[in-house]
Amino acid sequence: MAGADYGPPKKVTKWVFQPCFDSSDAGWGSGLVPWIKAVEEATQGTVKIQLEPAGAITAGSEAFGATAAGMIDGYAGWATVYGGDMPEGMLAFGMAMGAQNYQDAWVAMWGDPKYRIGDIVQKAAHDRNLHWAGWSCQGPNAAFTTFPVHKMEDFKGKKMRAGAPQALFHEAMGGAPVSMNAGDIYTAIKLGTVDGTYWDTGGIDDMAFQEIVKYAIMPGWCPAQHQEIYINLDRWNELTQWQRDRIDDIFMPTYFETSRLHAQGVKHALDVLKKAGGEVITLPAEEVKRIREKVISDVWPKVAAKSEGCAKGVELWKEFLTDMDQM
Amino acid sequence: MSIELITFLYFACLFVGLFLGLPVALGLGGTAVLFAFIFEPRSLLAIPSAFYYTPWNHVLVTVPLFLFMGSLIRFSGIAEAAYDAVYKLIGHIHGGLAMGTVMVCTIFAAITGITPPATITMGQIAYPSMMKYKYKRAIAIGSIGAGGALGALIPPSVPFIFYGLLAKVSIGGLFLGGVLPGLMLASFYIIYIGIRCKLQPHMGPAIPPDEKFSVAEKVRAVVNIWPFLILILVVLGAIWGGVATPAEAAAFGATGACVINLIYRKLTWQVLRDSLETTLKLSGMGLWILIGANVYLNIFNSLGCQELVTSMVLGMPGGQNGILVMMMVIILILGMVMDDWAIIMLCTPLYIPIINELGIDKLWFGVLFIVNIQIAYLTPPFGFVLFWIKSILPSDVTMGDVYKSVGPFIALQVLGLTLVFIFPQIAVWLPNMMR
Amino acid sequence: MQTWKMIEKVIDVLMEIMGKIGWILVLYCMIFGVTDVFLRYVLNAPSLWIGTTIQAAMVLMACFGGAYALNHNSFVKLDLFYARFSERKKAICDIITVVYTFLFVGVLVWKGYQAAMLSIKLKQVTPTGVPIPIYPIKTIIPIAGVLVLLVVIKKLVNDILIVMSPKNGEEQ
Ligand code: NA
Ligand code: NA
Repeated sequence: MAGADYGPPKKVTKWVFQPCFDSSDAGWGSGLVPWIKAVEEATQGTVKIQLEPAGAITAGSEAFGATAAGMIDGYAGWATVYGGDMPEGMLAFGMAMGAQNYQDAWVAMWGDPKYRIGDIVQKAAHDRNLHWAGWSCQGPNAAFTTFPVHKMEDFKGKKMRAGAPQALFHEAMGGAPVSMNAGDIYTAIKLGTVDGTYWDTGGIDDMAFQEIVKYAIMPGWCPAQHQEIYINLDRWNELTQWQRDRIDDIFMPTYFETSRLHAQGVKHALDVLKKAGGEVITLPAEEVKRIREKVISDVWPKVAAKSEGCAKGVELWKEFLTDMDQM
Repeated sequence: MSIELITFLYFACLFVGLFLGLPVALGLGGTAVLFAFIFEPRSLLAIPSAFYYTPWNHVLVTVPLFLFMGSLIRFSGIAEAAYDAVYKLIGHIHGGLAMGTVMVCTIFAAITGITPPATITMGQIAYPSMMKYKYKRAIAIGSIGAGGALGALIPPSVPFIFYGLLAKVSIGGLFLGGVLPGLMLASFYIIYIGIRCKLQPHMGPAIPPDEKFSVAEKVRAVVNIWPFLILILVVLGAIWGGVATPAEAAAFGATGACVINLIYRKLTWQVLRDSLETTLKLSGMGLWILIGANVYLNIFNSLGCQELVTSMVLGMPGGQNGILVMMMVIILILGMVMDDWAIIMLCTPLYIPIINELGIDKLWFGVLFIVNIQIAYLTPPFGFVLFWIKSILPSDVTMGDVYKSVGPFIALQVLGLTLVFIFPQIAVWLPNMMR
Repeated sequence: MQTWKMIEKVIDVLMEIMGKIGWILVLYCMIFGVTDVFLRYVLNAPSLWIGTTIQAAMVLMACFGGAYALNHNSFVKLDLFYARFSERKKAICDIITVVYTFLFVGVLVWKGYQAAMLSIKLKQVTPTGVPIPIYPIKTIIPIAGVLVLLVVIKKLVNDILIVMSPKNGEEQ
């Protein structure tokens, strides 16, 4: 491989990226932009990436498919958005009450050869003409409520705005999940149409949720939510071996760097909530364990049922949590 | 080819098509495809993509549902009841019927999200009556047109929903922001009509003194407008009472209209069919314009033209106010040749990055935007409300008559826009109160 | 001519069928919109699929309602000058601008077919609590494009007939 001409090529490759979110999202500045910088530096400027906000070239919900089809070169987003196109993404996004933090998540996905759940996701991506090239942990996807929660039963009968995996979780808790546009959540909580929402913790201040919710329930339904970056496989293969190796090199360092950035964002968002008079309730370890047992029996099988890869991945996740003594 | 030239040709190509009588939706889509073909073929996939993602939007369902509600109400006869109340209460003062028309339109505006229902209904009911009592056309047509345009500003409002979606502003907040400017404009119209007819009684003579009504008759006339109040209660109450989102409230409104027609024994097969037909034609057309506008913008961005426009507007002299005035003037000018859907879809994505950059309140900007859109409905040569009026009035009313009659009302709208610009509190006070 | 009248009739009947489907879609949105609120507010048991199917209904409304509206000449035009043109002049303009329409709708069919194939390959479903298949809807999009093309061709042939017919000439 590393022949005489192994090194930066003369030709500059230009890519257009459009994630499923815009520049107001925490994933923009703390996840995608640092990754792009790292790629451009590592490839010594032989790969240049132009970043467009969701909706510029196509809708956020369409961007994953558009990358697979080659309309755009790269995508960043959550499996809660592209899960209908590639269910294995749920393994990378984070399981309900799955890994506790980004260090653990790394071990299960890539770090420890015993699990390597990431390989399942990468295979699914290659089957769809995509290459998984970047990853970032955004911290807990928590519950933001107008009612206090100290144990699982406190969710019972409560109406919470919830997207797909959140809805499965909330149903398992005995609550009533409500689907709703992001733009309507503020008014709906304010007026009492719903009692709260599940949301990416670092993003609550962008939505002004601190004005309308009273409690942040940590660690939420997913203690370590992740965002993934995919590149069109043809574009990936058109790079030289050297370029591909350089981008592979930065996968792990940018994961830890951006995950730390996101962790700071989470801390800041919770400070904003507290300053606005809100209360952060961190569920005790035994309660988290109880909830985990509940979702592993009620929610995880639904993820496993989506595909062969998902089934295998869920088994590995179980194995990992057992080994970590969290089950 | 330079990006400036491409941008210019991109707009020129659209307008040539439109001036040759091509439907707006097809002009937008066709231009986009042509330029994508030449400069960026891989972005052609944006066309089916936009066709899927544009209607795949929960809030958009308000469009057919409010249309359906408005169509049904038109057949229910309750607008006649409302107009009857106005006639009996204030018909005896100069210009009373025209002032009453504006009032009924304002109530209409509170239950529909678009302009045609009020315009069409009042055009059919109020216009013949005003002619009977020797009102001048300028006052009669103007009050119907300006009153009808309020439908977009007073909540619920489909233009606000579009803007809110694109700009990511709370739609409930925008609705509240439109209340005071809407009522302000309605009062302007009423005051204007009152003063004008006081000074020139031949413009809108009072009804003859022998047509007097007892207090009981007046009370009965007012009681007869209960279905209107019920609909307002159902739609706005559902939203503000925490029962439903704006999209669901539209379903409530349509169902409420069905029930009211049922009570009035007006829910015939024919009425239902006509209402569904109107709804589908307008929704089908509207969705295609939205899809066309999205396609047009997606390709615009793929070609890299957005940056050019942003830097041009940001480079305007006069600082933040200069840029804002520039944006408003652009909407005003576009308003003469285009209509709400097209303008909102074209301008919002272009303006919002700039508004964010400047740190301007997006809610206030949204209210300014929609007040301006309201003006677009009335400004010649191309205005939805103008065409609706023309299509329902007797054929001896020419387009020239229509154009002439809206002048003073456009002036009042511009005054209102200026006031909201100078005193942002008119727009943001109510939303801030409710926070 | 006789054949053309028949073809025209067939297209019109087809569009009326599209219209009827559209009516059902409008009623669906209304009835299920209210049902959704009832389930949530009264029964405290919100549905996880009504909202999604209403969105799907809106896409179908664009598919069927678009063809129906175009056939009924309900597409808004900027008819500033156009309205004053003679029938013949209008027909000539329409024949010129049909290029835009063919480009747009043609690509909708061509790329829409590719998008549908991709969607089928990915077995696309909505990422919602109750996954709703997306690929059938994406498959209908190019079909809707074909329906619209039928209407466009119908109008084009009529425009050509107007231009060729000496009776409608401006000189007369
Ligand atoms: Na309104
Ligand atoms: Na206008």
